Formats: sequence, C-alpha cells, structure tokens
Amino acid sequence: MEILAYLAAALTFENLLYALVGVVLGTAIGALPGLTATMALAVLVPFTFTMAPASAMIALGAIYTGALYGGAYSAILINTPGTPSAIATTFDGFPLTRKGEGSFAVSLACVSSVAGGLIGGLLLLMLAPPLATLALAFGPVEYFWIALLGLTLISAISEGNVLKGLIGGCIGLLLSMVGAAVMGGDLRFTFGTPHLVGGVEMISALIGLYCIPILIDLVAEPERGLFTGKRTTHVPLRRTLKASWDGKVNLLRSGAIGTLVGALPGAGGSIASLVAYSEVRRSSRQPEKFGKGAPEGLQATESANSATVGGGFIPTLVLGIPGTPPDAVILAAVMVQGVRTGPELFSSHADIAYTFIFGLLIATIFMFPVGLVLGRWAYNIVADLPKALLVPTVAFMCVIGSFAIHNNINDVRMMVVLGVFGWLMSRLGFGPSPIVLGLILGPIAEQGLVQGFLIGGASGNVLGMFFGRPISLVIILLILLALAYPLLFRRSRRGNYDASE
Amino acid sequence: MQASRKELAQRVLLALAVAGLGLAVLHESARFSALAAVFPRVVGVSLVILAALLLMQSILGKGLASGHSESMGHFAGGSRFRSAGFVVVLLCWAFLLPTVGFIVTSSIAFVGILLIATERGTDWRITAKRAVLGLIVIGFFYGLFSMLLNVPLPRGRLWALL
Repeated sequence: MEILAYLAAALTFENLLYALVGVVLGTAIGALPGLTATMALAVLVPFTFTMAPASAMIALGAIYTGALYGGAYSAILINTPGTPSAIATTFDGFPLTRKGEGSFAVSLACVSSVAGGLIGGLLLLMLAPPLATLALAFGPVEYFWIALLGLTLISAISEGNVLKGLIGGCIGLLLSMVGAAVMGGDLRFTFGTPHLVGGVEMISALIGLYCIPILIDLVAEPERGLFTGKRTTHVPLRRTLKASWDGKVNLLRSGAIGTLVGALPGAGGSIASLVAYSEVRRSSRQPEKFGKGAPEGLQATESANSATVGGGFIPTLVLGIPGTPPDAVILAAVMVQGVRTGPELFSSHADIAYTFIFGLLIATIFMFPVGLVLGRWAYNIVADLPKALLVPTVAFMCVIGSFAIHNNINDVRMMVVLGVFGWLMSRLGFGPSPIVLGLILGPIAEQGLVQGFLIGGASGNVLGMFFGRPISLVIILLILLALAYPLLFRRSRRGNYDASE
Repeated sequence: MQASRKELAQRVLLALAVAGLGLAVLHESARFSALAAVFPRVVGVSLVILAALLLMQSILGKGLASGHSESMGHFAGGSRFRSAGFVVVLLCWAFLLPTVGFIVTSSIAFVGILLIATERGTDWRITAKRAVLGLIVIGFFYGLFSMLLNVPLPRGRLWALL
C-alpha cells in the first residue's frame, strides 16, 4: 500500500512538470555531438538545489534519460555517437538513414529507448538489493575479464575481419595509456609533450574517430545532400509500433541485458549495448543483414543502453557507488540535498527512493511523445540541409563540442588528428569502434590486470586468481564464444549457401 | 594477378607495421616502473602475435570475416582534392584557434568548408545565402556556449596585441 502512496507522490503536477522539462532539455542537449549526459546534468544540476529531494532526483533522472536518448539522434543521423553507449547505435542506425529511413530509425530508437528505460526502471524497483549484491561480487580480475569481453565482442561483431578488430582494440588500449599511468603514475607515451600528460580525452576521440571520417567522405562526394534516394519525412508511427511489437522479445532481452550490465560500476553502457547487439545477431535467422540497416540491431542497442539508466542506479542507490559518470553527478546532487545513498536508503528514506524510481518511470513514458516530435524535427533538418551547409555545421559542432568538454584547445586538436587517423585507418579496413572501446576500457582492464597480479602474487596463486573464480570462468567462456562466433557464422552461412544452391 | 600481388604486398606491409608498433611498445615499456610496464607489455606482445596471425592470414589468403563491416567507408571514392582541402581547413582551424580567436577562425573555416563542399554549378547567390546562414549558426552557438553555458571560447591572442 505504501508503494501506491509513493506513486501518488511522484504524480504531483510539480513532479510531472520537472520530468517533462527534464526530458526535453536532456534530449536537446544530448542530441548535440560532444554534449553528453554528464555535461547536461552538470550544467543543469544547480537548478535542482532549491527543489525537494525527490523532485530534484526526478528532474535529474529525466535529464539523464533524455540525454541518453538524444545521443541516438547524432548516432543515427550523422554517425556520431554522443556517448559511448550509443556506439552500437551507429551500426544499423546510420545505414538506415542512408537508405532514407532516418525518420523510421529515430522513431524506432525512441520506442526502443522507452521500452528499455521501463524495463530498467521496473527491475530497479524490484531487484535493486539482490542485483547490487551480485555487482559487489565483481573484483578487479572480473573487471579485467569484462573489459576484455567488451573488446572481443566489438572485434567480432563490428568489423569485417576479427584480427583487424582485435588490432584496432589494441591501438585503442595504447591510446588509453597515453599520459599518467593508472597504476604506478609513470608518464607513458607522451613523447615529452606536456599536452599529452592528461591523456587522450575520450569524448573528443569519440567525436573525431566517428564524425570526421564521415565528413571527409561526404565532402568528396559530388551529390547535393546526404540522401540520394527517396526518404520518408513523416513519423511512420504504425510501422514503428508494429516493428516494436514484432521485436518484443528482442526488446525485453536487451532491456534485461542493459539492466544487468548497467549495474556493474564503471563498465555499464558501452558494453551493455554491444552485448545486446551481439545477442540479437546471434539469435537472428539472417545475421548477414546486421550492419546494413537491420531494425532489430537498432532496437537491441537502444533498449539496452536506456535500460542501463535503471541498472546504473542500482549500485548508486543501494551501495552509494555510482554506476556511470552521470550517476556520480546525480549522487553528488543528492548528497547536497542531505540524502545519503547506501544500504539504508530504502529503509530510512524509502519515500525519496521510491518516489524517484516512479518519477524515472514517468520521465521514460514522457520520452515517447517528446522523442517522436523532436526526432522528426531533427531528422527533417538533417535531411533538408544541403551537404554544403551540413558538413561545415557538423564540423563546427565537433570543434565547439570538443572544446567545451574541458575548455581546452588540445581536445579540439586531438579530435581533428584522431579523426584524420580514423579516416586513414578506415581505408585500411579498421573500423572506429574497437579503437574507441579500447580507449574506454583500457584503464578498467589495466587496473584489473595489475591488481589481479598483485593480489594473486601476494596469495601465491596468480593463475587461480585469474582462472579459478566462478564469475571469471563464465566471462572467459563468453570471450571464447565471441571469438569462435565468426567461424561458426561463416560455417552456417556456407551451409545456407550450399542449401540454396 | 597484378592487383592481387599488390593487395598481398599491402597486407604484408600492414602486418609488418603492426608488428613494428608492438615491438616499439615493448621497447618503450622498458623505461617504465614495474607496475606501469605490465599492461603496455601485454598489449605489445598481443600486437606482435596478432601481426603474425595477420601475416599468416594474408599469405594463406583467408580472412576471418565476422559478417558485416561497420558503417565506415560507405562513400569510398569521390574527389581526393576536396577531401584533402577539408582536412587542411580542419587542421588550420584547430591550430589557429587560440591565436586568431574562435569567431574569426570558425567563420573563415565555415565558409572555406562550405566552398569545398558546394556541388558544381551552384549559383553564387545560393552559396552566399548559405554562408550568411552559416554565420548566423556560428553566432547562435557562440552565444549559447559563451553566455548561457559559460564556456570561455578563445578570443585570440592576436587581437590582444593589436
């Protein structure tokens, strides 16, 4: 019965308004390349200081949810993931846009995000304490293996050649080592340049490696606009809802994957969408259509990455450990309100915790109309702009977005240099995703590996430390499956071909 | 036959370059402390092993295809001069930003890229309209970032000297 009282508290006019405004602002900010969910929260957090704690958390949760979905616009329309979680969204989102199906892609992403967000929110409501205990069982070695799983998955699913994918991942790991070492504190690969001491900024690398190569190729083409064929300009709502209903199992499974992986502090969003993408492709009868504009791929990634919002809040609320950087901003804002998150939150401040979770669910529902309207608007702008205007505008957004991360000109230079490097690498058959994921997961993998060695060395059983723990063994099995997948895929494709012959 | 031999040579060169990178990482890691050297060494050795596998794959002519390629290189082809021009403008934009200032470099770079990306046979009046529109976009985002979001966009050392 108390639960209904918390639901009623979340449904006040004030909270509904905060949720709606939060979603709109978050979506608008998240849609701009370079402006992430973390930045949206950091900019808007002072406005919540005068609100009641539960309302402040609802507003922040709504901004976060909206910003995460907004990142899908740039990933789908201009192949630039605003956040690492949206990397896998580019795989099928941008090919759909190139086919003139951008409006469908954006609508489908909206429905999938709403579905994923609701799954994540409901699981947060029901399973927060047990899932948090599972997340606590992850030690440094498990984090090392999970980082390796992320790299293996992206190498196996995102590129035409697994070896090149793995090499790309290693190059990303090398980029992650530039600057002060996470273990030992040495300056590595800085070549005596002070500009490299701070390392390679992740968001500028993301913008550079994804966006600049596309712009370079677009400039080279003689066509007037981004789209050469026919395109849909309206919101194909019936088709979107039908595709979503047909893909309900995919949405549910991806949402559950997103919540589970999102509950792991640190690794969350980027791995969740990759695992979900890999899973939907593995279970598909036509895996060869993925990467060429398969709606199922887009549904899986968007559902999973929106579910990480709920998943990420599990360790944040139950343990006081932020699952993702935006969770850290929300955690800080909540502490300013005088609320301590942690195991006692659900007993001593149950009203705030449950009102917030219901508020998050309401904000996710608001995302449906807001996302459809804003998505159509964003798509039509990109579709109608002549290439001569689109390319400099996007380049300008990349420059200003990279600069705004730390107000540092070196981030802009890094973005441009990595963009040109990414373009050259794409000529050699290396995709950007393994490089970017190597860059993101590098510090997690290094910390896990070195700490594992130290702990294993101290206990006199290094091998047992890495290969003797049950969770590690499960992740190692998944890595082996991911590596074996291309071989199995090729064999099954050959079998299909022989059968059709 | 010529093309496949050229392709094979390219693949072998690529494998050698990757192996060279791995060896360079291993060499560089000798300077680091024990804790900081562990991970670079693992990555260096991995690169050498992957390069050897790539070399074998090139010689045997087999590729471990994963089923699809990423959305990169969908627009292969086109004018190399336009691409090169775009890269030059981007590099100048990034490196002149602190000296010449945000508004001036961005305006010049915007118009420069607009001219490079303009399709052949476009009326100059349309190009002029697009340039004006672009300047309005720059003005809007300059206002948004510098005033609303308090991002200190560089004003340019050059203007301080004048």
